[in-house]
Amino acid sequence: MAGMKTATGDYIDSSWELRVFVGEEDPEAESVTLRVTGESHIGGVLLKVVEEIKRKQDWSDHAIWWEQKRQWLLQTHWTLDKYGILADARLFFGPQHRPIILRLPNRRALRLRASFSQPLFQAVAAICRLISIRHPEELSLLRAPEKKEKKKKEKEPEEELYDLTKVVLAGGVAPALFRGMPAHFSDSAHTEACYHMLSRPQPPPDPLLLQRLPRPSSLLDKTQLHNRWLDSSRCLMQQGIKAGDMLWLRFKYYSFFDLDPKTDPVRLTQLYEQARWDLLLEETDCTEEEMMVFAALQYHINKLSQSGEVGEPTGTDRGLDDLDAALNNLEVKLEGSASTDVLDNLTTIPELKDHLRIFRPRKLTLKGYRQHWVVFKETTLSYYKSQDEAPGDPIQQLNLKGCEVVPDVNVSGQKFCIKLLVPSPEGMSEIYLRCQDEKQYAHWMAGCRLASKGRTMADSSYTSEVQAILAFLSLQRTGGGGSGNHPQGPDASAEGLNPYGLVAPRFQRKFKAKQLTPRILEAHQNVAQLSLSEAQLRFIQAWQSLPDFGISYVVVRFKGSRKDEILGIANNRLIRIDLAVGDVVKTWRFNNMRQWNVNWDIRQVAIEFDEHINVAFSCVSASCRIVHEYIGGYIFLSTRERARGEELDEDLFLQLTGGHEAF
Amino acid sequence: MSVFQMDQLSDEEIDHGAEEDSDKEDQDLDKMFGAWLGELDKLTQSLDSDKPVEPVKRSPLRQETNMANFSYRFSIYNLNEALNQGETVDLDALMADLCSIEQELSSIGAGNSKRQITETKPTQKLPASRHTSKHGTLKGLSSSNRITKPSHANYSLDDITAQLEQASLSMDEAAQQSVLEDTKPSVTNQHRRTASAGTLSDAEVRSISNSSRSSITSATSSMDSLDIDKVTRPQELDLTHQGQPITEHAISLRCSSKQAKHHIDFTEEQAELTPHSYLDRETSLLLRNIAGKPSHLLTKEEQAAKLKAEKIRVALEKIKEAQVKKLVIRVHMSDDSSKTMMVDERQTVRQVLDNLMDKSHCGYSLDWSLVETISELQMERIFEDHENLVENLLNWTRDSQNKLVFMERIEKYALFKNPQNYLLGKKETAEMADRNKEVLLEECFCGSSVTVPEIEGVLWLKDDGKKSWKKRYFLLRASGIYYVPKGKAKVSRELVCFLQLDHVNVYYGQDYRNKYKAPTDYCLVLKHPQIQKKSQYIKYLCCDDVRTLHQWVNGIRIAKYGKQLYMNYQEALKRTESAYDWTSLSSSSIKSGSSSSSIPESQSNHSNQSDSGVSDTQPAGHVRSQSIVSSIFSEAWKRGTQLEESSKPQVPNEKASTAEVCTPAAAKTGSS
Repeated sequence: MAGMKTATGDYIDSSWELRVFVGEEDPEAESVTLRVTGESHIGGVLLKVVEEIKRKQDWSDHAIWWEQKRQWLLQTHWTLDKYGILADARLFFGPQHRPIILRLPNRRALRLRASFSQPLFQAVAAICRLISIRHPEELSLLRAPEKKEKKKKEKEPEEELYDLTKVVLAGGVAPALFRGMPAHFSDSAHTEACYHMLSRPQPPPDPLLLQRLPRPSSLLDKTQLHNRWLDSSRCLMQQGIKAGDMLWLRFKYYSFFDLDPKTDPVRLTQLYEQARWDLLLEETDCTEEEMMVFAALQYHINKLSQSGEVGEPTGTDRGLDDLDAALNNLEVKLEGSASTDVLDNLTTIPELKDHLRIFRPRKLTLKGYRQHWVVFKETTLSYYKSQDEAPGDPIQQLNLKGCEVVPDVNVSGQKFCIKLLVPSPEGMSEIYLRCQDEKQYAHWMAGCRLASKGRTMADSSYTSEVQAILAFLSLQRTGGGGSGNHPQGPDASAEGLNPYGLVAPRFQRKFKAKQLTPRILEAHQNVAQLSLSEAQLRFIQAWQSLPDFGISYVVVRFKGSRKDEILGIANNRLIRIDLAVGDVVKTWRFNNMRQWNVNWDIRQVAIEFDEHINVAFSCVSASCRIVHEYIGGYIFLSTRERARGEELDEDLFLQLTGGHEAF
Repeated sequence: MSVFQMDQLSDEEIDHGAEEDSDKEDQDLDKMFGAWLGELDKLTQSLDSDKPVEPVKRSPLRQETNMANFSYRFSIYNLNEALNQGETVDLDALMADLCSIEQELSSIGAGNSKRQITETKPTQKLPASRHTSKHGTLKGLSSSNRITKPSHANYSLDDITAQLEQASLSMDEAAQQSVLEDTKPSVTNQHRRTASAGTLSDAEVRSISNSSRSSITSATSSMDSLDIDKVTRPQELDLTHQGQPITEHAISLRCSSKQAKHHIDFTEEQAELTPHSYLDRETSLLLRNIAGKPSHLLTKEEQAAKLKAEKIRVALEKIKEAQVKKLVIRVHMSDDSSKTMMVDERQTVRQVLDNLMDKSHCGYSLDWSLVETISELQMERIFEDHENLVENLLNWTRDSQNKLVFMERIEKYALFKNPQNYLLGKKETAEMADRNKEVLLEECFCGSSVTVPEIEGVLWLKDDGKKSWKKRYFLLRASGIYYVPKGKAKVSRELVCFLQLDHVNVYYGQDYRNKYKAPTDYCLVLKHPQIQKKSQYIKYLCCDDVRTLHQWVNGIRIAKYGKQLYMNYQEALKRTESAYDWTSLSSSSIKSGSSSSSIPESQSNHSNQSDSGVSDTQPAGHVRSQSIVSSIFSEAWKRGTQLEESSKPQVPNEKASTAEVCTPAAAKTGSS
């Protein structure tokens, strides 16, 4: 059509030459020149380009990018005139999906293809579908922080890069499960490994690395992260991202909908990892006690994932297990009747009798540990001056039901103490039992723990409890609880318990490893029964219940104020915080919000709340687009309902978070 | 003393001289085992009706005089037998039997007990204190059950032995003993022993239902021929057979079974029938193999095995259910009267409250609460609805002055009626639209984790052992209560943990201005529930005003109980609403969830409403009886069928019990 010539070679139609570069924004890329008119459709142009290139290839993913306007020409039925393209337009014919490197919440790198032409919201949704994370609306991408020039180019350890660029997903449908993972992961050993990386918690980080990584020292530092968020309503290409760039994938909105360990292994794990790093890098502050619980949970999670106990007992239903246990019980009783010994064992609740050293802390006493004859029967602990006096009255008898049992152990120092806090009507009695060796300790400790729950040593869990305690002690030995000055590498810490990899660096400075270990162990006994996903869930819940959880900080200047202040954005409220002191000045809840407006020219956000409360501020540390998107995003997330299931109202999201190009 | 502490073990209270205490614990275990097997035995008993029990096997044992280890020996003996015979057991018959027992029991037992109450009423005007002393035997007896649950059963055998040895009892003693004896089958059958401790009538009622049950159970083939009349009047029986109460009574129990037996037979029988192996070894192996397989892949045998397993599970459930501890408690009403009632160890505070509301015709309201007052420490606490009542009451000491009070307390659910005053951490009370309240509650309690309100501020902390108070800046977090050390900033990393909440409950202190020279009267106390006396482990905090007090107490409740608290509220709301429908406006004290005011101004807002809104002539329609087997039956059943059924026989009974309210010590058995 276009390109009709006269005999002299002049073009008689209004056609002109259009140069299209082939490839991704590379100035030296090969180019083809087409003859087009203003009425040419984009689809026709695409066809011509492919013809000109004369190469057999699947061009279906390719589209034209208009560099000057930073725009994809995706409407194939539009004409060049409608787009306003003239001969001077620099057009690139390139793939819409390009590889990027994602830094996942667990800090591992994953290469995959992401859409460079769709709005980021859709691109993230596609990524999340690929790595099987539900509710992609909670996540977004951040630019990687600019690397400061390393002094002397420190030897960065070669990190493993997982690659999912070759995996193609059938569009739309949720991937079916195959061999316990989404089917597209089960193609090759590599993708399988990738799935394991995604769905299993990583071992604790190297404590040295932890100390080296940047940590926020003030609220101001915490605002830095947030100016790196990408814009959800524009595509990656428009935001200057190039193929092969590194981007961070993070949970952006701290409102986690319908967390389900069964269907969400990757989501749960990545969320756990983000929470863990958040705490380890002191992004969210917590108290010492809370840190110990977090450390214990991390230790427990790591232990479970190391030992491969990932699979939850899914096949057998719980009731049948109970029944089995009951039947076993019955069966043993019946079978055992052949020999009376066995029956004796069954009908007598095991007792512990031994010489132990006992210490009872009292005011104004200097007495230390004293040797006693101690009898532990059912849930009651009695001690006597000597074995001979055992038939008589004990010096003291304590029913351990409901008591607190605290281990006080130092393996290298051969100290095996059990601290008991026994409640009684008169108060708590405190008593320390000192055992001679690990074996004795394990038996008594297991007995005490069961007794505190009102169970006796006849309980079927007794032996496993003893074994668990012994295993624990051996871990401490190998884990080098004492070698506090030499934190080990990640490999060593995976085997033993290196407490420094589990706590934030400020606790590394505050405590020696051998001080930390017993405290973590103490906290651990409360969580030792949890399964992997339960422990992760518990970790996330504990993280969520921290007062500072889920607040994104930006520096703003309120209208009429002359100093910078911090605006905290949480999932249900906005918080005005004094920048210098860190005190909360005022809180506004989204529930009371009437409307918010953004003046893009003067970069000001104005919010109206119920009862005619008006707030206006300009954004300093991040663009007002980010604040706007946070607020709109949280409003959007609060509209989600269980009934609606998985489908996303994308339009609503973009309506709430976008808007600035529209004007 | 308002709760009969029959679960406190005290050896001297056990009145049976014959019982040796020295090696009691050793025997316990044997007995426990025996009794457990005894349970099974009951269930299997009717399995092979075509195969009558051979009396021959029993005869050598009959001569045993030292019967302490009876059950133990029998168990072994029969275990061998069962294994040798390798007989299989008809599980269907077993289940049918269990069901019929259950039904019979619930109908007969309930019916009889009601009749019994009216009969025995005149005899029980004894004040409660006298009851306890007079029935010290019973009390001690049941108290010995405490240590381990399964051991409830054991004493029965022991007791029987003791009884046998005490053949030369005086007349009334014998009569009394026979009442006691009456309860024994109950123990072995259903472990409702503590019941006997309450009051005379109580014991009797129990005994009747129990004996009826035991006769049902023991009747091997002719269940229909059971002479209920005889069984329901044990007193008469006892009077006629005073001479040898135990033996004779045993006969009466077994009147319908084929062989009339000596009393010993009864004991023997329990042990003897015991140990039929439910599952032969192959079956259990099969079961283990099929675990986890989808059902359509199973072979016929496997399916059969699974079916079998299912049945056994149900049977085990029932056995479990039978071993329920009960406690007779006295509940003080807000009008200074009191009620005695029985609670079993599984009951939650909510269930007890429902019971009490039914019985006291006080109308349904969210605010009805069970309040524990510890007078020695001058503190009180509203029990949470999900808490287990018996568990809490067992923390009281024997000679405790503690009281359990049934009263309306608006602070119980004020948190949910006006959440804006508690959840937003604001200093001033405010009004809020109902819709926003709901949103706020949902936001706080229905997320993936519960948001603990940010409560912080200066409180007074009492020094240990002194009557002096120091100011400190406290903060509430989900992980516990913290304070800011002197000279430090109010940031997380500097906080010092004051208390973690796992092991403590929060109480309101009363009149600490006088007792401990507290700066104000708005005190809260944190202590381990087991601590009942002054101790350094009790922490006292004092707030400047009542609002702060309530904010802290509710904040601590949220941190401690989380979502459960909200569920309790919704459950209570549901009850109230459904009750409201039933009583058709007859009750004045109903409050809608969101209509009432802001933070209560006074913490002890007694209302003497218990009798005001409702008269005695109120239709018995909303009276729900707490069924013995309630947990088995669905909610629908409760509200539907049972409502109709139970209302009929209960009308006279209800009247009787309302009359009893006037005499505080009067025993009230209801239909439980």
